[in-house]
Amino acid sequence: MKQKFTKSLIVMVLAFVVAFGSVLSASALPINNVNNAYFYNVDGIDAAAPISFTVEKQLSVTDIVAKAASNTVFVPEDLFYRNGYLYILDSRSSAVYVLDEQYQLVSTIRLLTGDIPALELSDASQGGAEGEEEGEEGGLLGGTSKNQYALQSPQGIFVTEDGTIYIADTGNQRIVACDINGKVSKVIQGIKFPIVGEDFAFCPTRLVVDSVNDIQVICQGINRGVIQITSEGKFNAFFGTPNVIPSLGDRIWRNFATEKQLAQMITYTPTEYSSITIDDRGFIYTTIAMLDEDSVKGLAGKSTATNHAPVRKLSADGTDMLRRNGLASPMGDIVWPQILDYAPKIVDIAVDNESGRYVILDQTTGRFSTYDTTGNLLYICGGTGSSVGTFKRANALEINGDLVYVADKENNTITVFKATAYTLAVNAAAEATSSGHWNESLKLWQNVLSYNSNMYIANMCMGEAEMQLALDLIGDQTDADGLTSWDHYERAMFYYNRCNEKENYSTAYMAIRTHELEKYFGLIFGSIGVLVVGYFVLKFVRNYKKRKKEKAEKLAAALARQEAAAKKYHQMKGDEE
Amino acid sequence: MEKTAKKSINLSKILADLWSAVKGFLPKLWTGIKTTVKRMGYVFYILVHPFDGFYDLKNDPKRRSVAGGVAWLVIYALVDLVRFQNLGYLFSDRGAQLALNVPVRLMTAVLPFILWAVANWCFSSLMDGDGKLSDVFMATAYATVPITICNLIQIPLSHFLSSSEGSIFTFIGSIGMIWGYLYIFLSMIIVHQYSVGKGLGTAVLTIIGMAIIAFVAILIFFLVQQVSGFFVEIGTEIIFRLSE
Repeated sequence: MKQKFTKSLIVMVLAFVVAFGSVLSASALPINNVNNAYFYNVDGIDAAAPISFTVEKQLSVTDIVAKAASNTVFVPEDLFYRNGYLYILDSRSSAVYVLDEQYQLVSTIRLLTGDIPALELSDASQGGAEGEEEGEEGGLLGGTSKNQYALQSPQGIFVTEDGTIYIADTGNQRIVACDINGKVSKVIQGIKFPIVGEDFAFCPTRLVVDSVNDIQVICQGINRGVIQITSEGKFNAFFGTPNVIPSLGDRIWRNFATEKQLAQMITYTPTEYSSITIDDRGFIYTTIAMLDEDSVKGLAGKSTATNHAPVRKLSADGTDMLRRNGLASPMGDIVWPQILDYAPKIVDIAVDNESGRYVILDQTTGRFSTYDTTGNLLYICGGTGSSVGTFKRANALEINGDLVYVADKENNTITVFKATAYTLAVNAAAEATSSGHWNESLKLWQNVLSYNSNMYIANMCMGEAEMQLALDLIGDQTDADGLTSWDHYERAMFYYNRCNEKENYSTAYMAIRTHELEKYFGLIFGSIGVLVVGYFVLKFVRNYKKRKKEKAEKLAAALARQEAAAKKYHQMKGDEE
Repeated sequence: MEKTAKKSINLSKILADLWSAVKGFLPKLWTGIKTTVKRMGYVFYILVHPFDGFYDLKNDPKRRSVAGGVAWLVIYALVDLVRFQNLGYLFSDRGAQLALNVPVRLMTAVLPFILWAVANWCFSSLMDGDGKLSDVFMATAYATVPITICNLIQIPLSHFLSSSEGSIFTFIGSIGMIWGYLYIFLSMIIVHQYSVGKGLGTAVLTIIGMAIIAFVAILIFFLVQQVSGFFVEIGTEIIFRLSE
């Protein structure tokens, strides 16, 4: 009876433990599919990290267009966010959907109204076959009235501050500017490039418009960089051409190769840009999706190479201004196999104007990575797949404060990501550092470290903050916390040691060493002086003693000799007597 | 009872014999260590008088000490290890320190010199050199002492220097290297009674020989591994079939 009771008790306890354990583990599971979050530690090795974004909403075609037929195919090609509206460019049905903050449809632009001059489409374009059918009418839709036009597989959208929508109407080989109702205000077509040749088709894919309404366009098949078009619609210049630097071996080999061999060799042509964006200070960010073998070799594995960099920040004269202080130059993942198939394919970039952070989207891994203004990777999110929060063919992204929108061409969805508390903590700390609020940044980065102790950037920025605090103090002056500059330098050394920043560690160490040397200068040189003087004194004393001894010995010897002589004399005298 | 008593007597007798043998050996070992340590000190004469020093090291029976050579090589390896682990933060490789494998580190420190001695002896016997293997080994081991000294100086220095003064650190390291390798070359010339030209030729041949020896050793290692792997696989297969 007793045995039975104990047995049943044990079973009950076990059952309770199992049940409780399963409840615990269930509550420990992430609530959405953005799991396997990771980040890199200071050695560039991936380590588990807090989740940086959670999926707030996933929009499919039925969420956007309420009365959509079940067979409606929706291919989000590009996104744009401006002043509370999210603009979605659908390349399949050639329409622009405008959503408000609650993701409710505000407007649909399907047909453009206004006056668009007809244009003979070039066969060389991608949409050439389709274009020919309607070519005579310049993309006129049959059955509609004379001044209504349809878009044809458009690929890029940009909205200016005053709400003018610029669409890269790729299939119709033109750029149109219209308002939210589709009323056309400007058409740019028939652009001819002086270098490329007369019969080259103008097929714009992505575009931005700067503060003086000049248009910067990326075109299919143009590898001379970004095309600058004036607000009047005239070709101005190419700028920011991706430079190509063949390897040293190739350059030497090319000098000796015959013409036939040269023809068989790979020609080094610059790659096309895949995407473009602009920040409110007028800097243009460009990305490169198709890396060649040479770039893959140059970039794979913790590389800080700049000449193959897939992300660039172009100033007005086309020079690359992007700061690359991180473990690797911005390209998504830091470490990936040196194979073309695994190479990052950066398809889009978005900039947060307030903080200067930018997000890049890698189509290969389906991940989007956020960088700060100095080029440090802050967090990574996303993945490949068809579940919520992962992508098969992510194509465009847009940033809106704490939200990130990602469009997927193959899953046909738009995913809305919301930053977690961890991400907000990192952002706040990074902003405190970049705006120079050092004391505040120390607390904020400490908060980040409490989430993720592998976050080496926290240690780096705390070290920088301590260095700055030390520089503010002169001599033995103490700050509000009663710390001298040497205390701050010591703390900086601690943080720099943690994040393996040898150069900065050395600077802090030098400051401390100089101080210590100054402090103990008298002691060190005084003791050296005492030692030297002491040595000579000792030597002198020893010599003096030695000489004295020698003298005494000589004296004694002389006396002895005298005595002996005297003795001898007396002896001789005695003998004589 | 008797049998066990007999056995225990035998055992104690063996132990007593062993003890007496050890007792006889200990003083000999002690004197051996003393003379070796005394002869190891001769290296400081060699450092300033390499030509006389290496000549006497080989030919003077009062100064010759193979055990001393072994000891200097062991010290070289130990100092190399200590230096690797105890350099100041600015001059150390933290990742490599965390992945330290002590036996491998010691072996890789010593192996090149042993390989040099063996390969050099092989070629010198073809090129009518005078030295025996023990001579070449001993001279090479004594010639590593400059490297050991400079490595030892580097340890405290690395704790005081900043990275902008790192050239001082590397300068001392390279002095040690050049000094050591030069003495290895000089010792080889003196031991074999070569001219400088012939010595240079032999040095080049020796380096090629080292590569060949390393290649053959790796080849044999992998072959043995393959063959043993094959037999192990057969064994596991047989065990698997039998247990079925």
